[in-house]
Amino acid sequence: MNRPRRITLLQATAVLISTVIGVGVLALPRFTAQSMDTGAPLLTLLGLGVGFLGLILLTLLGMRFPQQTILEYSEAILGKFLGRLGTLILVLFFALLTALIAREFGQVVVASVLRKTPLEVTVLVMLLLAAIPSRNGIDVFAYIHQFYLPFILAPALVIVALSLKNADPLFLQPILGNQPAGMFPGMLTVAALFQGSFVHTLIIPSMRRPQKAWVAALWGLGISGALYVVIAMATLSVFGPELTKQFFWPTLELAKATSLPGAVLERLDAPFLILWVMAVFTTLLSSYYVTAYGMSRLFNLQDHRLFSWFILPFVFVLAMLPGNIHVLYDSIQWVGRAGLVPTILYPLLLLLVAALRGKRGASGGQQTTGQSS
Amino acid sequence: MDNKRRGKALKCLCILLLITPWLTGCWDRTEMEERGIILGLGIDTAPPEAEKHEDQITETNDPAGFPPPGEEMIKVTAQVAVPGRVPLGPGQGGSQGGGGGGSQKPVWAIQVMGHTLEDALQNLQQQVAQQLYLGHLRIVVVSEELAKRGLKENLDLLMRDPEIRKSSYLLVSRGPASKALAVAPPLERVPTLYLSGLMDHAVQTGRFPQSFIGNFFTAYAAKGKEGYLPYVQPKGGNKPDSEIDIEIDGLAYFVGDKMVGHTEPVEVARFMEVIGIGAAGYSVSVPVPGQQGNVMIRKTERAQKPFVEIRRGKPLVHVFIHVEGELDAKSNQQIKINSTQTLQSVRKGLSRRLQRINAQFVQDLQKEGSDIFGFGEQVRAQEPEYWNRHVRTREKWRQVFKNELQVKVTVTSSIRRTGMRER
Repeated sequence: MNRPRRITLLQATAVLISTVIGVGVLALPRFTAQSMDTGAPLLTLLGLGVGFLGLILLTLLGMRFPQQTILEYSEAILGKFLGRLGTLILVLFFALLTALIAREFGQVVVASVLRKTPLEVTVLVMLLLAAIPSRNGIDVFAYIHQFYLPFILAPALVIVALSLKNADPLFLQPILGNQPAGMFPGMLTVAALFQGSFVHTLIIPSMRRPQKAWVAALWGLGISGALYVVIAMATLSVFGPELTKQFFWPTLELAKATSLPGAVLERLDAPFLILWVMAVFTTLLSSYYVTAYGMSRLFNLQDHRLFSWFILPFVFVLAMLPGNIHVLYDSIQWVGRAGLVPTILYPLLLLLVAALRGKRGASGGQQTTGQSS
Repeated sequence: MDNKRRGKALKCLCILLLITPWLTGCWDRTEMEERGIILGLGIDTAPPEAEKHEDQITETNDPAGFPPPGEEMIKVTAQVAVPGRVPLGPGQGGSQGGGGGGSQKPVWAIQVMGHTLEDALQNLQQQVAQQLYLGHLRIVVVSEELAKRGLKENLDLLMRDPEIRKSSYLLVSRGPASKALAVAPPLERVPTLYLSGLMDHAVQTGRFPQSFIGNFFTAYAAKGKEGYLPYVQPKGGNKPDSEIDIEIDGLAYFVGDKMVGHTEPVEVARFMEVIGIGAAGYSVSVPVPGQQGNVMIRKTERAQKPFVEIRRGKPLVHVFIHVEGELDAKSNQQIKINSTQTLQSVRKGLSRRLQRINAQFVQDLQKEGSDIFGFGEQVRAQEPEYWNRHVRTREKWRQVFKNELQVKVTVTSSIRRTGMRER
């Protein structure tokens, strides 16, 4: 397949940042504080490290096969059957991830703002919003991310800066935490927040210069990871570890407790939620896109548009499965941790086998899908 | 050709059908006048016989209900904003300007009984036409009696409800909370706005540390810290027509969710000094060495640095405080403050005096067992090894704070200005 190489480095970075920053922002301080109390920022950093590992592997693979996505070169590396199987697992995982993102979004909205609107409506509207633009090609996809990037970064930074007024640095000490209950599982849960960066594999074959893919990976995950760490620090230093554990969405509470100086806005949760919707939208769009695109690869179709609508009811039903918020968060944790297998271990396997078998994709030029076995 | 056009029309129809759901507007729409906006809540204890008069509105008298019968009840006074009467600014004419006379009050105070705050609000909803809305709640006043009984049941709603802002104030009042809410100052048309303004300005001018509901929650949840709340006293109002005025009468300190005592207003300054709040608003009197009489020093700024060490297995907190002051007044005309030496000796006297009263204040609270200073958090943060081995829980910290903790207060000061008089 001929791909137009039109995505710039900035766009590739923007896709990563706005994909990674999503629903997870709200709950992150809670489960990091639950795992490591005052060590939450450190835990976030460790999780970022694990997430980064996955992205590095993916980028190395992408630079080795600059014409293809992981869904295509996996067949070249592992053979047709195993490659397809890997794609199937990835597609299922991303369908599940999409559903959980949409559901978590709906849960927050129904609990905090639109308390009378049925959950189904918010989730369905959000999924529709992701399904429509996912019918476009990859450059439109990248443009959308680039457009929303400032709206996603700015509010989080503003809230963090304004909340410093109430911050108490004591709540950040000791940085290792007093009673680190579950550092390793906590680290995996945080790493799961960076799973969206998997979309990078779809971007690389369309990048103007795929050799620069690692620069985008570095900046993309660096910026979004730094934002996560800063948010964990701000929330923890304002509420302290014990209170942070008690809120479902500590970041939302932080926005609620923060006011613009001069009594302009006494609580920032409403504007924060509005802008957060954009962050969720971009995240959802990415995972939806990966799912739809993966489906088209699975059935060997050139066009993924058909699947944009086709997967909608399935994802919606999946999103409605968790009975209540605790079930939801349990499934998010488990799906997230299990998802590290297809998003980190699978690329690792591919890279090892590719290195052993000496497989390498065509670089540049007008090559077609190439040497699938 | 015809087929193509029909297809196009069908497409248009489909798009129109898709758009229609978006035109219906907001699902959660509530008109302003359909909302019963609660501006303030006052919570008092209720007489024991109140339970007999209770109507069966919530499931609270059921043996398996929440809370179980036999618990004492509370009386909640709610101030509901009357639509159209809450002035949007001071420029809307005096309250006597309207023709309605006494009925022109901007708020409606209504009382209701209940077992918990949540229960009482449900009972209240049964009496009020509009849908109650807590998003503009500014003030919650709790009577001292109730605060001493424990606030646990009532705090839960304040923490859980998504409408309630964390920057509203929670006050403890001497005497009934309903009276504190009924304060009717001529400076502001809405009583609760006056109350929250009173607190806002007290914080700005250094007369009180910031104490929103959110701050209390943080201290209440933290392991090495206890909560404190402003302690207010309604004044006047004994005669039926006299206006009620309110005074910040110190600081109510807690152990867990139970209030254990309150300080004098002047002790709030000592508290703020020990925890190191920059804005300083109180003054202190210092005797002038070698001369008859005292001078008043108004504090302008302060800084504090705590340092924790473990000495012979017991925690020791050093608190270093620096205070900047300004000479405000002298007690008689004979005193001469006209040389560097005199000012120096006054400064030394100031440091000594502050050191003594602050250390005394800390000791007093240690006797009460209420660590509102957050020394426990200092120990937890700076000596995690000691904390993890010996403390770990908040109950244990309360014991350590009461019996083992040593606090050393060191105060330095400087007097920068003496006002417009040369001597």
